[in-house]
Amino acid sequence: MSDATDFLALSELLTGETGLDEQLAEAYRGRLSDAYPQDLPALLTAYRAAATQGNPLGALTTAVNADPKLARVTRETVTAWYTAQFLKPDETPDAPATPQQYQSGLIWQVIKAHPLATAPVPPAASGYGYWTQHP
Amino acid sequence: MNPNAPYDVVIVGAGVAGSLTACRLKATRPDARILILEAGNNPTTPGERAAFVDTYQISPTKSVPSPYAELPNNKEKFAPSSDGVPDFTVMNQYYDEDGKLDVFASGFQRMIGGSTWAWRGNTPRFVPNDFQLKTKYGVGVDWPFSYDELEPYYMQAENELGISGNATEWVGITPRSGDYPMPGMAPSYGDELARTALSTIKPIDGIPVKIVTTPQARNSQPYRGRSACQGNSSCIPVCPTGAKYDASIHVNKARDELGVELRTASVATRIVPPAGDGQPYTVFFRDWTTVDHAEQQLTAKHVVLALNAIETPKLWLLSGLNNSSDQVGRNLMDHHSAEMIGLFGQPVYPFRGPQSALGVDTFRDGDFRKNNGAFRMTIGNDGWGRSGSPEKTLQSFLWDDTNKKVKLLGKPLQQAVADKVTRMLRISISTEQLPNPDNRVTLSDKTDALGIPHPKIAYKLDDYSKRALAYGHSVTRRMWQHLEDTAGATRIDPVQPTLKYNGAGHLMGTMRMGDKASAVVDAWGNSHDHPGIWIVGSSVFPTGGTANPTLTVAALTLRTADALADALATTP
Repeated sequence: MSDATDFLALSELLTGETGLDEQLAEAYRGRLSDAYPQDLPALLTAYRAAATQGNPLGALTTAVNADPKLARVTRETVTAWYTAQFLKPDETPDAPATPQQYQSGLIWQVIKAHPLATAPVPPAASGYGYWTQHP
Repeated sequence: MNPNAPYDVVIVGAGVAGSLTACRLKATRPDARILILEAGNNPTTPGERAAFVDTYQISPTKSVPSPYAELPNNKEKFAPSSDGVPDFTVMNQYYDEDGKLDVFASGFQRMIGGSTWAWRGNTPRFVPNDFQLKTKYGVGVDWPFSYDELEPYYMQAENELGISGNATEWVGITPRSGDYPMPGMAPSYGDELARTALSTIKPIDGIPVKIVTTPQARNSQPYRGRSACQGNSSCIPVCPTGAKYDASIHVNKARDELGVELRTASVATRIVPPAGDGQPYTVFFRDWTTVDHAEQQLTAKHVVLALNAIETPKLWLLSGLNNSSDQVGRNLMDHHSAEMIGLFGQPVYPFRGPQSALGVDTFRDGDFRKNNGAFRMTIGNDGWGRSGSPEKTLQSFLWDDTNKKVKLLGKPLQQAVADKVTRMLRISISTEQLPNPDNRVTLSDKTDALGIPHPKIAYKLDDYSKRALAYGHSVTRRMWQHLEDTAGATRIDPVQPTLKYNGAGHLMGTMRMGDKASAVVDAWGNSHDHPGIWIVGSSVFPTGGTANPTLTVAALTLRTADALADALATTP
């Protein structure tokens, strides 16, 4: 399998989401590869091994926590999917590349809100007063 | 008309005070030749608003100035804004604070429309006793007029800015001679849960904990060509729709409908009084879009300083204008804000709708003001506000920073984040500070890209202000105790007063109004020392009260503009 396919599958395992966007995955794989050029491939290797186990997420968690560098790039991969932003090895932020990436952050759907400055539009409940209702 | 003839009025600053002055003067004196001089040069089109949103969303910090940081006056430091970050190590260094005293923690935006681009839009009025603090409580000073005298202008200001509010909720707090132009902003789903839970709380120290809908300069229905609020939850730092008022509305009206001239990218450097009777004032400025940034000049019969409480005294001091009261730059005030956070017993689903809609305004006045400052309270609709973002919560469940290991992943991580963030609630206080002549703005040796000195700030919280923070904590803690007892609230923080504070962004004082011996301007904003110079904005506030200042700025501005219009009628 390709790195692109495996990164998408890895991302779905780490986030618990299915049907993640392929183009977004490629964008994040590119940004994470730039920041973690050795560690991201190592994480993909660890994923391929874990994917054959009965409990892939458990196996992967054990594997990455055995190596602080793998644990770190795992953290940043999850963070990228949630917020479109992650920390580079020097602790400086790698900001969302586009407003669309920011708006795609999983954190908003997880907390049943919307990205800041991007109010919901139909068919979602929207317009003046939508916020008075249970989401 | 001779283009070299003096302007009738030059207004320095295109924020809410400057643009309202221009509109009011033109409405009263259509023939007056008026120019607004503005340091920023941002477009005020819908496209520019959308660009601000894009800049904000890709900003790594999402700080208050983040939508506007790329504007050349900020980026190239031609006319720097201040970020107001209360940390000497990261603040943008516009303020020259020596670090030995307390931090002045509020910033501002230098742009067409001013800081109203980045305000929340809350517009409570001052309470009547705010105008007579010395007489009623023996502290601070009195204003040179009463609430009743300003009330008609409050009404006009509320119509100009477009305020949503429920008048009946304010009976007994701020007297009104009429209704708001729009119904109050709809509270959020979570607001109603909090309001219901607090409806059974008994008075605290004899004061009822009455929750009211905060008046807001935000449309609850279409108003003057702008839509109703769409609930973007980004009031600070940018409203994507313009449903929240910002002063670009009155700038555009002044320029496009009323024929007021607007000169942008022009930073005023000094004001020179007339050489003799019948001569005009000279306003010097530098246009940072020119190659050499050379100083230019124009003349005016009247000059209106419509800058904020930092920039107005800075320009006055740069100009070497008379300061017979010795109060120029003194009595700098802010409201000090602190928040108490906790988890509500069930989801309140924050980050949907305006950032706040409800508040408690019953602790804004009372005999306790003899001893300590009053405070406003806000029930937040933005989770833990400044205390903890959803992103920080994500990291707390995802990452073990001590052992450098991942903790939760997959659905368990989702569930943990969802359970915590959806129950986040904050109750904030914003406290009163007394004027203190030692809290002052002077000129720094440091300069911007045009060679203009930065402001130098000396600032210290007095005990009255600290006791306001402590008392505000005490009241808020008792409200949270009620939520613990009746609504399953947990994780309350802080449980002890810390006296830590943020700035509310409410720059006030430094050019106060009053009598000639103790104030810079008279009750109409007219300079005691230079009769052709008028000052509008929160710099003229003698005391700061607890209300977010912009509505009072607008009311005072309309009052000053009327006085100036009368003066124009008698100016040759």
